[in-house]
Amino acid sequence: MATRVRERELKKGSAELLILSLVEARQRHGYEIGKLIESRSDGTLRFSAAALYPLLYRLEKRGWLEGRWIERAGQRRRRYYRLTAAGRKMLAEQRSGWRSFVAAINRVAGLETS
Amino acid sequence: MSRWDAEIDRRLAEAGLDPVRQAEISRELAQHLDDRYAELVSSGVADEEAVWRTLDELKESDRMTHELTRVERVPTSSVVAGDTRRQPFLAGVSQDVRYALRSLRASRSFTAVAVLTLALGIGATTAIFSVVDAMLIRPLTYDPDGRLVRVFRTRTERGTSQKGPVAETLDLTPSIATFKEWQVRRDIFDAMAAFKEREVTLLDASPVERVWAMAVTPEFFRLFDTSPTLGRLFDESDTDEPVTVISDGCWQRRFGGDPSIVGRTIRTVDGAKTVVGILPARFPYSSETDFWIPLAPNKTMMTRDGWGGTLYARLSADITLEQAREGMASYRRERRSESMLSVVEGAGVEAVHEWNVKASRQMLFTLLAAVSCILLIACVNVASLLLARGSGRSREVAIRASLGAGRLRLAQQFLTESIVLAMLGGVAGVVLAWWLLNALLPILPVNVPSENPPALDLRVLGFSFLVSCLTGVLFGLLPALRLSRADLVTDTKPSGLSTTYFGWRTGSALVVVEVALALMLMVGAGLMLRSFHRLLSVDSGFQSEHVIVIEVSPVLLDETAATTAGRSRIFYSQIIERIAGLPGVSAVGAIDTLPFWSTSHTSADLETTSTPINVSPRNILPGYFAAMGVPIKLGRDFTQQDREHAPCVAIVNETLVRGAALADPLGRRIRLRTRSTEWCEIVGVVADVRHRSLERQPLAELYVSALQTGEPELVIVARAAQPVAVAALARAQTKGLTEPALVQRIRPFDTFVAASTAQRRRRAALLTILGGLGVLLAAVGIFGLTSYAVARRTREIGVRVALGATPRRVLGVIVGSFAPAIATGVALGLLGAWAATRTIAQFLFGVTPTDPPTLIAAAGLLASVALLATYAPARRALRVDPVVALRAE
Repeated sequence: MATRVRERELKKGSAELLILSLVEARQRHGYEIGKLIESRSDGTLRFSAAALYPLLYRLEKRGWLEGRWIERAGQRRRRYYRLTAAGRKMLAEQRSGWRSFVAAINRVAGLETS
Repeated sequence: MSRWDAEIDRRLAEAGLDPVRQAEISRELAQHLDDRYAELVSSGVADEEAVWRTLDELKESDRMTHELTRVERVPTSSVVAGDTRRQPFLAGVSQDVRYALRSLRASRSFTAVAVLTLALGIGATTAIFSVVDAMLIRPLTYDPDGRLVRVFRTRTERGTSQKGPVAETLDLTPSIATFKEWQVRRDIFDAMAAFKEREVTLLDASPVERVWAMAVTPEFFRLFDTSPTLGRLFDESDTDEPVTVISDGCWQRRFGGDPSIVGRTIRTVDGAKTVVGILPARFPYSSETDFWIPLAPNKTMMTRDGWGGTLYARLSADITLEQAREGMASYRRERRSESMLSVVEGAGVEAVHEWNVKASRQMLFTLLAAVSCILLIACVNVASLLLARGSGRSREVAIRASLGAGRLRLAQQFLTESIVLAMLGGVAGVVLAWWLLNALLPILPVNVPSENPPALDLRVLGFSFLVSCLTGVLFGLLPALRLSRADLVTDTKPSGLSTTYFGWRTGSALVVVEVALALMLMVGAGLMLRSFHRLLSVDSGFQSEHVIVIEVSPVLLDETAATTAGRSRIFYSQIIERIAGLPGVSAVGAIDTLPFWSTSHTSADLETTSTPINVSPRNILPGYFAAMGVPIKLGRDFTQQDREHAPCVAIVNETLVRGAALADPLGRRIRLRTRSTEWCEIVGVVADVRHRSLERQPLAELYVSALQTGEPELVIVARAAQPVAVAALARAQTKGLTEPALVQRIRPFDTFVAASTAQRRRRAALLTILGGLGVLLAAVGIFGLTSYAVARRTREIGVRVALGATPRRVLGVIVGSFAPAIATGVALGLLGAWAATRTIAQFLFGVTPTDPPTLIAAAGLLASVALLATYAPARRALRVDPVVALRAE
């Protein structure tokens, strides 16, 4: 039972993990985050605006991300998201959780053939 | 502005976001779509397709709306009450409480009236409950585990009278011999002691003083597990010794707390007594008793039951009251007697706490019921106030409902408001209770124990908190349910035509309840008043006005049995002669026990019959009947010649003559069984006197001459035109007599009469106050309800007046519309009173619980008050200008 709950949480948290990872190094705006997810997964993962923004707002609400309107020279005002201290901690946690989850799936499903 | 704004806003609209936040999200999404569009176009997608694919980004907008609603929920602090969105329960409550406080602060006069009304109800209930708590709930301070019991002899006598078989159960003190037999039942009792109050005359005091002492067996102090502050307590060897133990109060007051008092002697009329010990300050009975002396049983006490003492025992650790009763059942005996069919004797055991309070229990519950009625009336009043105020808030409710507040949410808010109001009322009520308790204590018709006085302790405060909560729910529930049923269409309009609100049905129901409750209170108060009035108009048999009572007795030093009677006789003759000489004194006499003091019974033989009769004997001196105003119906009073060595004479009362069917009483002879075998000739018949109390029928009485019996202690009564003046002079007359005089008190006889009716007067006074309060509250409530209803019908009244209705007719319609409710209330109230007064029947005197004049008067008075309360607001409505009234809605 407990395992199943954790699994569900992990799956749901995968989107959060992706976003948090992408803003780890530097702050990015929403469109950029969406594009990066799509490109880095070779088009396997894609978030529409309708799915992405509520997620961003939720992470912001939880205090893991901080969004700010920034005006850069020659660019329009955009909202940039950066990782907060709490977000950094959460990212580390989610990474390790995800790692063991993936490893478990691999072991069980016999994906570790090599 | 972007080309996507319209699309985005259409999708965001459903999320119900804060407008500022929505604008921000909209801008960010627009930017995203701009970027997407630019990217598509730059990768060579045709414009039309690019737009179409860009909008694809929003295609799961249902989910977006849902997610946004969840994520973007506005923080609770800035939500207005009535917000539909789900919140944590507690946050909702604290928000409701703050909102309630704000809204109550906004309407100060409403809040003041409601809080005051509730404070009256809760305060009265709390005050009475604190008395109930002190008397019934709290254990005795000296018996925390309830193991202290009273043990007594029960005697059920079955006999026959002219009316058929009779049975009487008496509760007697067992003889000392029986006491000794029971005392050794260590399987049931840890300790058992006998005690009796006695008077002791102190000679060291100046003037000579008489105080109450407690004569106890040595085990008495063991019952309370006490040890002396100084010295020792009694042991078995003290029984016949002249020793005394004194209370801490006595030690401090009389002897200045001097520790060397132990071992010293105190001079009393009965000889010197050595102080052997001092009791601790907290010892029970210390407030009433200064001296404890050993109980030295005389011959009668040794063998006869009913010597007037009391037996207390402490139950063994693992014995329950029930087991103690079973254990004592073996003492049950049945025997035949010459005058009775059978006599069954047994042993009774009851908790001392129960013994102390059982006489008060019914009265306490009656009072609790009365204050509950007041509390209920207060609830109804506040409920109607809330309804009236609530319908003024119908727009607020409707707006909140249209913003999505559910009915439950609105009801919760209203209920919170009621409970907050009740809590405020509760706090004010506790303050009022504290004041009431002090004010009511002197008129409480129960004997409040002095060592355990009522107090607003934690239990009482807990009770009033609970009552406040219940009250809040009680008066808040109806308005909450009623008001939360908002009508969106009519009530959002500036002024909804809303006569449906708080219509006649609710209003009438509240009137019915108020009238019914107030009537029950009034009937109760009326019956008590009637009883008291009846009691005062009873023919007591004497005329108490102008009579003063002089409690004086000779201090017979070096007393010997042979001389006591003679010395006492001379003492009383001297003082009576002196008092008779005072100005305005028309008659002086003396008696051993005044009316209302006590009554003893004994058997007497009449010459004419063989069966003995039961009589109550009294010793008097000549002049007593004249002084007390007791008419002599036949024959004569005693004279100075009816003294020792003269033929024995007696005077009887009319009851005795009737009971013994003495056709020609004068000259018949009667003989008291307790006294000598001497026959006394009946020389007079006097009117009946209610000696026991005004309420109880006179007994058969036999007066004998104290000059013949030599009764050593009497009370002087004098009839004087100006009793107060005589009272002032009387004390001086006690100086320089042959024996030193012990003057206790000199006071008008009316004092005794008042004391004997005090309990009834208190009952009547307290219930009248409560009844009056109830009627007043009910009248205010009905006034408020009618005012409100009339205000709601201003338009209708305007129409009627405009169409030519006469003021009289309009008045009739308004007052008439409440008449059925008032009539129903009166009917229900009478029914309730009929049911409730059965329980107070025991407090009534001379009236039945369904006394028609009382019921009719109470119902009539209440109906008039209620009609008047509807009439006043109705009159006001008539002054309304039809034009204004029609425009009013």
